[in-house]
Formats: sequence, structure tokens, C-alpha cells
Amino acid sequence: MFAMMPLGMLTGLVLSFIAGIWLGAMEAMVPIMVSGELSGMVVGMICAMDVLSFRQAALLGAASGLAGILLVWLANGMLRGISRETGIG
Amino acid sequence: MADADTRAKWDRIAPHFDFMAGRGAEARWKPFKQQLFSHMEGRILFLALGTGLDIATFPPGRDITAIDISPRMLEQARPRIEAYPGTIRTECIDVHAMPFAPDHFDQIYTSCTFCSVPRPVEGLRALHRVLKPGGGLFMFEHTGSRYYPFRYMLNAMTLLTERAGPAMNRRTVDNVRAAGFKILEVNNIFLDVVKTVTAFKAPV
Ligand SMILES: C[S@@+](CC[C@H](N)C(=O)[O-])C[C@H]1O[C@@H](n2cnc3c(N)ncnc32)[C@H](O)[C@@H]1O
Repeated sequence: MFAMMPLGMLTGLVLSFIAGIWLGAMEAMVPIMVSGELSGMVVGMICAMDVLSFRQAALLGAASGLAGILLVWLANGMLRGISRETGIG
Repeated sequence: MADADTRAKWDRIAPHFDFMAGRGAEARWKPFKQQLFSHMEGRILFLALGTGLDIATFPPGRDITAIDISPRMLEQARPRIEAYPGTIRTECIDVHAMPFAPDHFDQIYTSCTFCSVPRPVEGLRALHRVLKPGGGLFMFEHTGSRYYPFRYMLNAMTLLTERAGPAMNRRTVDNVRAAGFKILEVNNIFLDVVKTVTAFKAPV
């Protein structure tokens, strides 16, 4: 499981650089990496406990990848926006 | 990293920079840059013009001094500079060694700059020196994140990206404060990673 997480993230990193060119740097890179990491973690974890067919692993990976993108979208909704300071201090 | 290395790095990237940065990122960020640059007034310093991708978002008719450390980036910017309906004077200089007099500029603008300047707090202090008291610093920047898992990812990305180009994990808002500016507003555009920062130099 712990090997799959960085592997997923690394795959996400490579894909995200390519996607970033057309879809916008950070807005593509970050969600793709998160989805790579999450699918790596989930597939790695389940594989360690049970035998998975390729199709099952691919489906599980895709589902957790989508969940990763959703997570970034939700986080973006929370973090976006303006914060003002007094300019003092 | 020595400044000669920084220059060499950006000179190497110059021919490919528009391919990497001129499509998706520019399209996504254009309205935010336009909004930020719409404040341009008076004597303006633009730090790190690069290949001039930002010029399309400048309001017309301004008088801008634009600097960059890389002569090849500025070379690529030439057609965009010529097409701008105003004045853009370029100088190939390092932000750490600007020859301008203290308190010279009314406003300073940066765009994806402090991911690339190797000594950001020193670079920002140099900007502080040449900005008039009460003058504004307007930045469009991407930074690191304060939150898991984004923070670790951007740190990991930086191991790769910093060799060839920008760092992804800078703490630019903290750096702006550390350089002596007063922050007025931070506008997070994507997560807490892509943002605009408005700050000023305290009046005397
Ligand atoms: C990511 S590019 C951004 C260029 C442009 N503002 C844009 O958004 O398309 C960073 C730029 O910072 C410049 N740069 C890096 N270190 C610098 C320094 N110490 N002094 C001046 N410019 C520097 C590089 O040459 C490069 O053009």
C-alpha cells in the first residue's frame, strides 16, 4: 500500500504535467496528483488484503481517482476567496 | 543558486516557455490578471516580464518599466512589447541588483515571479527599497499550500520543477511580510495555491 501511494502520485505527476499544458497548470496538476495518490493508496490497500482481477483494480482505481478530484473541488470551494488584512502589523 | 545559474536556467527554458505556459494556464488566469493589472497607474515596475505573456492583460496606454534576468526570455517578448498600445521599457537585470533610486516607483507588479526568484525575501526587500512610501505591490503568484495533502505534493513537485523552472512550494505571503510590506488583501483563486496579493509600503 505504501509503495502504491507514491507510485500513484508519480504517475499523477507525469500525467499532470502533460494535462497542465492544456488545462491550466495548477488546476490540472493538483487534482490529477491527488487522484493518483488516492487510487494508488486504495488499490494498494485492497490488493494487500485480497486478490483483485485487473478489471476490478482498474475500476477501483478509477473510482478513487474520481473521489480525489471531488475532494480537490470541495477543498477549492472552501479555500477560495478574499481575505483582507488591516495593513497594520 | 547563483544568479548566473538562474539566468542560464531561464535562457534554456525561453524557447519552450510559451508552449508550456501560454495555453491552459494563461486562459484560466487571464481574467484575474486583467483585474489585478487594471490598477496600473503612475510610474510602474513590472518584475519578470518573461516572454511577455502578461502583456495581453495590461490596460492600454501605461508607461511600464519591465525587468527580467533572462535576455532570451525578453527576446521572445519583443513582438508582444511592440504590439502593446503604450510604453514598455525593458531592462535585463536581476531583481537583487536593480540600479533604480530608492522610492522610485509608484507601483510594482509581479506575475508568477516569486516562484522563480532564488532568494525571495531578499528580492522582495529590493522591491521594497525602490517603491515609494505608500506605494502598492500587486502580485499574481502560485505558492505552496498550508494544507495536507497539497503541501506535500507541491513539495514533491518542487524537487522536479525547480531544476528546470519554478518552485511550487514558496511561502510568498509570509515572504512579503518578512520583506517589510503590509498586506492588504490575499485573494485565493485556486485552493490556497494560485492567488493575488495586494500589499503596500508603509508611508513615512
Ligand atoms: C515563471 S516565469 C514568469 C514570466 C511571466 N511573468 C509570465 O507569467 O509569463 C519567471 C520569470 O522570472 C524571471 N526571473 C527569475 N529570477 C529572477 C531574478 N532574480 N531577477 C529578475 N527576473 C528573474 C525569469 O527569467 C522568468 O522570466
